[in-house]
Amino acid sequence: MERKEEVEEVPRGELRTLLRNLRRSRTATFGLIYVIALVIVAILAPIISPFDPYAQDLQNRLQPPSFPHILGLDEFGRDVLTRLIHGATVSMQVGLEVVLLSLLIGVVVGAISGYYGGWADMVCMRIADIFLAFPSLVLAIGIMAVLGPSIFNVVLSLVIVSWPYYARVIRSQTITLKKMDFITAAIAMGASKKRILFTHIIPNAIPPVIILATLGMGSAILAEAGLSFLGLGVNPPIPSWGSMVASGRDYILQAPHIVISSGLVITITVLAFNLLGDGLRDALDPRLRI
Amino acid sequence: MDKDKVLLEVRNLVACIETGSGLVKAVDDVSFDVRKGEIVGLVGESGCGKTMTALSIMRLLPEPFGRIVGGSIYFEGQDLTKLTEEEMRAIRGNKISIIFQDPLTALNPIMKIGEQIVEAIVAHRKVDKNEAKRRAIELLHSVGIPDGEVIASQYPFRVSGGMRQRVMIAVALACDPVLLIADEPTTNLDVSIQAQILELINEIRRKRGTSVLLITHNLGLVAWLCDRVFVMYAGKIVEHAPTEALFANPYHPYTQLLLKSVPKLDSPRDKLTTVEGEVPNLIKPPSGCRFHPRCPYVKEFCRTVEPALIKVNTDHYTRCLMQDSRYSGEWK
Amino acid sequence: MLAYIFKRLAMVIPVFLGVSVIVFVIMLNTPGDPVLVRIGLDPNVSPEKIEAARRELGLDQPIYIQYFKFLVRLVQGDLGNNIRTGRPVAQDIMEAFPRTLILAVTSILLAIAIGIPAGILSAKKQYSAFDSITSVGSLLAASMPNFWLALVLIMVFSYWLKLTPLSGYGEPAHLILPTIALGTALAGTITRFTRSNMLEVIRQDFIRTAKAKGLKESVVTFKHALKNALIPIVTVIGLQFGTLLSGAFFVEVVFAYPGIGRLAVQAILQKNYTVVQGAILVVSISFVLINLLIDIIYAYIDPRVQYE
Repeated sequence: MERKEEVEEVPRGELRTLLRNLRRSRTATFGLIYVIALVIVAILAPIISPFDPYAQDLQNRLQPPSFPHILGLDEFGRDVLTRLIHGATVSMQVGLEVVLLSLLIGVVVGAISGYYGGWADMVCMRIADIFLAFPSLVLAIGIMAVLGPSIFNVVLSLVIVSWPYYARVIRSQTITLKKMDFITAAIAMGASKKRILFTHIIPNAIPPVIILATLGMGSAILAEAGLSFLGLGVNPPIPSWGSMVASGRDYILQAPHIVISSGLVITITVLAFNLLGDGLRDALDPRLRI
Repeated sequence: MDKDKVLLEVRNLVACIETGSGLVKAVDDVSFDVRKGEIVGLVGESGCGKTMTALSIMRLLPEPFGRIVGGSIYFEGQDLTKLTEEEMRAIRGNKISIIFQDPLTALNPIMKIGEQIVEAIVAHRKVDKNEAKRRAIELLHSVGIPDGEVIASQYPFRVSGGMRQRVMIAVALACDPVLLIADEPTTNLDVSIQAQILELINEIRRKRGTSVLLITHNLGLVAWLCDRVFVMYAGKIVEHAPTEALFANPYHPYTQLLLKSVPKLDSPRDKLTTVEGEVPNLIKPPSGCRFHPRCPYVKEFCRTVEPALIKVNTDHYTRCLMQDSRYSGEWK
Repeated sequence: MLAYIFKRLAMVIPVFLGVSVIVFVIMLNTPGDPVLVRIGLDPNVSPEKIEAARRELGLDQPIYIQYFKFLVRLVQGDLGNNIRTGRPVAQDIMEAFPRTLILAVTSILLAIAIGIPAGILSAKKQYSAFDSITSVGSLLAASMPNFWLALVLIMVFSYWLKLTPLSGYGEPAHLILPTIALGTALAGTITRFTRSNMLEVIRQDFIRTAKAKGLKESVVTFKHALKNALIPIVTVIGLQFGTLLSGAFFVEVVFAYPGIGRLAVQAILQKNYTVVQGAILVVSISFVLINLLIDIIYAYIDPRVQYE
């Protein structure tokens, strides 16, 4: 009886302990702060950007970093810093939408698959396997090639490509939890299958999902950057870090600041999410709690 | 006492482990000895330091957390605590062997059984592969596995628990050690298999003259197998004596309670005696006598005075103020 | 062992079918008229020519027939014709794909050569400065967009230092920068993976037993710990192979390396959809086969798998 309560408490009262554990790692703290800052920047983009991301100044195109354009101007004379800030909005938006949607589909499919097993499980997993048979970005590229560039299409193709990973993880979590004693206790008390699924299994399957989602944000952002780089992502002139690298490429010798700044931002952002995800993984690992 | 019959002498050994919560003195001033051809038992609850003692002898404390901090371990005229790693390696698996509690995790899962025994042989003896293989199969026979050839080509997860433990023993005996340390060798096994393994250990002592240090929490095993017993509590030896003497006349309250808590089939069915309280915290051990929080005979001074080992009979010592002439009057 | 191989082979077939269905469905939705791509945008072209082109491309028949025919041709190795040049797509791919595979192999080798030693050392020196630096470094490597790394490498080594050729294919020198660009992220992943596996394995009981036998430190590390730790690495490489193949698309574009990635991306921009379709199919099917191979290798290394 006590064990059951102990395990059920895991997801809820743990936020404070989680933050405390996270702060132990300097890198994870950096990740957390950076991500929070990025979210703020993304939301407040129109307010905090120094210039208009679409305003062109052809006379001064490709101007290197100087005052007041701290990161210089791009090939159309637009302020690089401003475009990076607005690019943050795009990246965060795409990342969030991809992760949340993939999670939604993944949780539903994975939990049902793992919990009810049998025929539903087999079908779901075969379908997931088929999607996983494609190298992810290759499939996304194929889909984008056909659908054409736009934020919506990017999100759609990335969701199609990512949901199987979440489904798989949730499914195996569900299967592990299903066998645990506290579930048997709940069944012995007469709880219905559906109730068990929602009140016991899903809440306890959450911690690894959080980690997966955090790391997923990183890969979604990287994927969107890649697609935009190839011209298959966000349609210009909407600023995207990836397309900034692509357009900066043509001027890489005379104006390396475009390529360097945009690529650096992608790298540090993905790194931050990865550090945060790693930190979460260590913080949630019961073995490390003393 | 015939001095040259002593094989292993541990003197005032102190070993510590660093945990996230502090420094634990797992082994605190422990002394005991094992003589040739003897089976000595080291008994105590989990967490009392017996496994740490065994690992200290083998110098296998988990680095960098575990260290031997003081004392000496004399074996064949050398102090093991002062040897280099190279010198220690020559002794491990060769002169002193150890078998562990869980043979499933203690054996390499992706290596065939025969190969694991051969490896132990080849590490210390200059023999060629075929000779080593032959000896390995012989060893399997000697530990009670008749179809040694078949078993040698299997992986550990394919054979039963009892057989795995026999394999572990075969590995330990590969170089005919003079001392075998057995850390809870039967705890994970079914009761019927336990008896077989214990008989095997007995046979090893009889036929090969190997001395055994048996580490266990199970007094039943001790009664059956051991010549002498050392009782450990909270990192200290609290009583030691020849087996019959200990069972007939336990002096330390902890030993008494341990003995009473083993239910006997032929005793009247009343309440089960338990040892009250919890295993002591070894980061901040109780003051004075370590057992005082759980002792039914505790007096005020037990909380402040640390008892020394006191002789109560031939070869029988106990660490209790009740036997200390300065205080024993209080209990009359 | 053989039974396991057959079992896995059988499971692969429905996956192949599924892959072909998805690729077919995707290609059905291509914008623009492939007929126009085939015969050009001449406004004066006669209806008969259009009709003939349509029939030539088989577009006048119902979908499931088209799929079936597609499947049949696929099995025979016929991937259609390059809409622009008329050459069989299979030929284009046979030229381009091996080059991508070479790049993939060199990248994996580089990643292993750096990753495994770095991982082992970090594990043995846990908590040291080396360990911390390697940890962040490997994560950094895995976070960098490979196309950006490629550009930076070109800028530094080809333009400024003039050490490597700018682009193209032919000599081994052409492989250096692309390999670094493609392999770095994988090196980071392998380092982290090796490290965490070694740490886990080192803590296990059988390592203590190995030491208790009096074996040498190097034997314990390599024969016992590493072998056990490496088993899942085989799987990781298999999983990462997909990322590697995807990554090749970007790297090849940046370096103008004539592999299947560059072929596909150029085809997309030129609306040459048969080539795109063929490329995706070939890449995906190879990926499935490679994973199958990895599974079999894994079963060979870890005897426990076969009995599950």
